[in-house]
Amino acid sequence: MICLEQVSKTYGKSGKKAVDSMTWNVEDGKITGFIGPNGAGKTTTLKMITGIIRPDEGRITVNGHDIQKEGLEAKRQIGFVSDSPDSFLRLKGIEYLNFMADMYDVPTQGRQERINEYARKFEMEDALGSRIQSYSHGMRQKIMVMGALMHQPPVWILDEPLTGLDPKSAFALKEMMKEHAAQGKSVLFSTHVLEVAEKLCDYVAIVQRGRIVFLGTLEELRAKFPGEESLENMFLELTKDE
Amino acid sequence: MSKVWTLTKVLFKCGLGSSFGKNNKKTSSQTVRIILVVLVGVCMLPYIFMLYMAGAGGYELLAPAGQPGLVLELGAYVGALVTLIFGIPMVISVFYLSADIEKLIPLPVKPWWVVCAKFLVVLAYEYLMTIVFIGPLFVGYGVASGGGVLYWLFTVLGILCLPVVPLVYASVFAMLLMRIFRRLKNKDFLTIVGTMFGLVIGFSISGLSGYMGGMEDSSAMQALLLEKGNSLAGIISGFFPNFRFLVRGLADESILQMALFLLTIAAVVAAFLWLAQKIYFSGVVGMGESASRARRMTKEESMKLNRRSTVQRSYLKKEWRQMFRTPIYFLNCALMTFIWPVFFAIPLVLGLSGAKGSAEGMPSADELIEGLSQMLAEPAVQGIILIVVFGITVFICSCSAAASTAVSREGKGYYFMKYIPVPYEVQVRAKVHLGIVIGWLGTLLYVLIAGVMGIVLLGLNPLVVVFALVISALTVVMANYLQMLVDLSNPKLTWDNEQIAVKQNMNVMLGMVLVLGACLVLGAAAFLLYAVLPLYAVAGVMCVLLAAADAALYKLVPMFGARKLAELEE
Repeated sequence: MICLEQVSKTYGKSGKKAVDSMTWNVEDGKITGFIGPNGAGKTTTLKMITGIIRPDEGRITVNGHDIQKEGLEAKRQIGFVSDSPDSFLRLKGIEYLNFMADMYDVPTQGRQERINEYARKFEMEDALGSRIQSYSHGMRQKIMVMGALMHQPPVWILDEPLTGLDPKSAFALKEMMKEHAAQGKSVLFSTHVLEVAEKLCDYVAIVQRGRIVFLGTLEELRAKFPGEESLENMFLELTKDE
Repeated sequence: MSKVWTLTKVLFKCGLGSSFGKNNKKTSSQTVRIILVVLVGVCMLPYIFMLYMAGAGGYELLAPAGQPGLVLELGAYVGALVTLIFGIPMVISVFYLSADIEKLIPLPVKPWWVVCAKFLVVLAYEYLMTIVFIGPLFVGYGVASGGGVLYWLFTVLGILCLPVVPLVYASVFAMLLMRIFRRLKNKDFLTIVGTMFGLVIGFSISGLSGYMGGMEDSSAMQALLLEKGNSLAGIISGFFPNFRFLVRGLADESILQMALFLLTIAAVVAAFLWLAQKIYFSGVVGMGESASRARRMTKEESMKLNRRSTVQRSYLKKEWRQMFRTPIYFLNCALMTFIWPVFFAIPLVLGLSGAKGSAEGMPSADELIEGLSQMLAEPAVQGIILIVVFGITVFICSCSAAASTAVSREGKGYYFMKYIPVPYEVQVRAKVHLGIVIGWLGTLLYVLIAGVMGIVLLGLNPLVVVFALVISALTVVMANYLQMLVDLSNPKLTWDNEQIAVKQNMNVMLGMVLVLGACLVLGAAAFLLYAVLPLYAVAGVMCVLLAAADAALYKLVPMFGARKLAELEE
């Protein structure tokens, strides 16, 4: 479970808050979609949860571990997939996976099976011996997802994970997210694609200008807008400029 | 032509981004950096003064013989060689490895426009070097000779035009290399091998130019010398024949000679651009491809790779792979460390092969060994050996940018350092250890080989070799931690081209100054101690001092790094 308590973050000297007093919980065993327009504060929030940047105010815990005070333990709980898969390009896919496994202390036993299983699901068996540099965008995205899952994290955080994936890989990823949640683990992902959120998420958190403007199930969202069928319209209504 | 200019402006903005430009935050580390930059400037002053005096003194010395132009020619020649040697790796990275190529190829631009714009970018970068190398010498000469308006005007023109021909050589070499081997899939490997080959050629040119100039014909040279009026112009230039026009143009303030110099450059550039139009695109297309074998790994291969390793070992392995598989990183951070002995060997081999006549008057091999053995028994000579080993180690370490760009090389992907559950201290040490391993490979191996040869052939005291090895090993550690300290204080993370991370990163220069400064202090301390203590005692004290410095840095730099990395928010 991820808990955010009154978390705020301001960039630069403008005083404008990228994230403003955010308080919410990401439940175990559920898939939570994090939705919002560009610049709403999604990536900033995810970066604070993963320890990449520090909040100015508030507290974040991951499975009870404070990301500021028990950083290493909190980070061990997380498998993070960033929005940019263009890293570690000179490593071979297999080298990257083993590097990530080593960073998270994954034992030798079971490593082979795990790699084989993910490679099969994402159809990456023939690519693991090649450098990531030679991969397409979608393949890079897939290897990053595989790297994040090597230690079978209790909390899975993905920033725009479906961008660039072909339909088959996107389907495989969505299935994996469902399996992950079904095992009682939490999944949090940001997306712009409302249809994905509609079909995949147990909960949605809609963010606008650094504030959560809606948090709940899709049924609760629909109840808030009686007679409105389109999620897109509900989203536009929630995030329209005041 | 307007499109060439537009392209050049865009490439300038993308390719020559200042280390300080984008970050407006006034932080304490930036203040430290400004102080260090000023320090670099101050450190350069004696060197600039020395070049100034060489120009002025050279004029005073050669003017009575009617050959003062030789000073200018020597300066121009050395400047051109430096441009050529530094230019080869730079041209390859700017012309063929920069990220903008994939954006430029689909545009309706002619190959020569792109090459012309890229050439101007490299040229501008080379000017920094030319101004420092050549400027003071030409100024010294001008002041001593009382040069008129034309001299100063031609000096400016000369400095602007001087790097053009050597850079054209470097560019033609790069274009031919990439064109000839365009079907080779592993472009990274080609780039590394090609650059090494280019550097060897560059250094060979420096050795061969003397013979091309006809210096071996002493009677002809005497005749030229007697002619006076800068009749020797062109004797040194060798592969840069048009320098004779520049020398005469400057020394005699001759408009005609200067015009000839400019005309030859224009002709060379025109020929170069014509060639670029013909072959550039065919070499550059597909540069983004890397060796890729879509082949399923065997079970044995997978088993071998899928084994748990310690965090430290795995992190170091990752750093090592990224360094050695990224041509720009390898060329700038590791290459010189490994191949420096070759550059000493080339002039030696060329010198020996060029030496005329037989061994008449030369001592026999046995006599030579006996003489050297006697020399090496002298404590003073042994001291010099240790100083030379220390000096070379410092030089090699300061040339390497492995530690001084260790964090910068992560670029925008630095954030992985923050989300993996590995203490920052461990990550910092792993990054420094890469530099240390490279440094050790580039120094200890050669010291060991030379030391063993010295012991076996010349009866050198083994204790000297042991001290040399220990001093060298400890110096490498100290240098790398100091360089890491600089990069941690303000890493350059905003770049979209690997070249910017290492070539246009002030941390490299600052790290170099810090290492040279620290080693200068240690060297001075050793010198003072030698006045009161015997050689081995001084060497022992130096080892203790270095070990103490290393121990302190081993503890403090990762602590500092952990604080800086935790604060790091791009």
